[in-house]
Amino acid sequence: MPPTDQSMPPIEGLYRQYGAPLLLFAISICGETSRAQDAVHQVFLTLMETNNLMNALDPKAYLFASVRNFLFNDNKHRKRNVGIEADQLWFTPPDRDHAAELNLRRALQALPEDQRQVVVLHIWGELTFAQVAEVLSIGANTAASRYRYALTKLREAMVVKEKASV
Amino acid sequence: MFDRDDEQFKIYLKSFRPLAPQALPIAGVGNTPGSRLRIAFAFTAVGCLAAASVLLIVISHRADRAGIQAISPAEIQASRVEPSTPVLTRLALDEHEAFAEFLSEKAKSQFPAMRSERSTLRVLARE
Repeated sequence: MPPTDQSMPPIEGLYRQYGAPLLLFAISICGETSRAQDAVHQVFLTLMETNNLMNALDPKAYLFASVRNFLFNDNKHRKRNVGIEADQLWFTPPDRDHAAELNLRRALQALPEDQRQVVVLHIWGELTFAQVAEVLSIGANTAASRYRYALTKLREAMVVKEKASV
Repeated sequence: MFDRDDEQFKIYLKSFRPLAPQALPIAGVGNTPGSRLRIAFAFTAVGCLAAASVLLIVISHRADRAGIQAISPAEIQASRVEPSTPVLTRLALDEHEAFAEFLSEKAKSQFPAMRSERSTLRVLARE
């Protein structure tokens, strides 16, 4: 994750630091890359206008919660849920291993939504379980147990796909 | 709480870097649908003008071949029918003196004679 440049305005620094995991989190909720990008941009635009972030106790958790709330409100407004896009990249894979990226993406897509969100927040968002609990309005123990279930399923799915591809 | 394999698997998963959001598009002058429409309209207008020019050139060439030159000044003078403008133009270009003579003849019959002492033209001529 890129370090925050001290010379940047605070919101721009946060955008550079958390933009990618926020986008991934948004995709894991709504399934559409374009809508997820809109959500991330809209959250940052609102923050620039209102400057609410300065009052937040935990700006990082606040950002993730804002993206989640935006998408939930947007869902109510649209009154529809769209399936996760199958062909849009979510990650830049290590060593350009695009097959592994596809495996991971499919494994994440196969997870239940609540587990997928916990995994994304904890691994790529680098949130603690307490922060994950705050974002998702659940208990910290629930967050931890969802994470363990999700990790087990992910590993199984990816091992099976790795074996299948060999 | 988590075993070592979990931690290693987590490190492996973290090696996949999530994609950064793309920058918001900036409204460019050349990329808007309106500008494309204007460009298409401009091309159409230029095309129409070019087609009209070609058509005019073709018509003028055909007129040349159709025998505008074939009428001689004597024939024009002898004829009681009024010659058309293209015929007169051709006469003015090709035979200047004949054209001047033709105009003089026409002036006699078409312009006022200024015979009256108080005619407007004669008054104006004096001034």
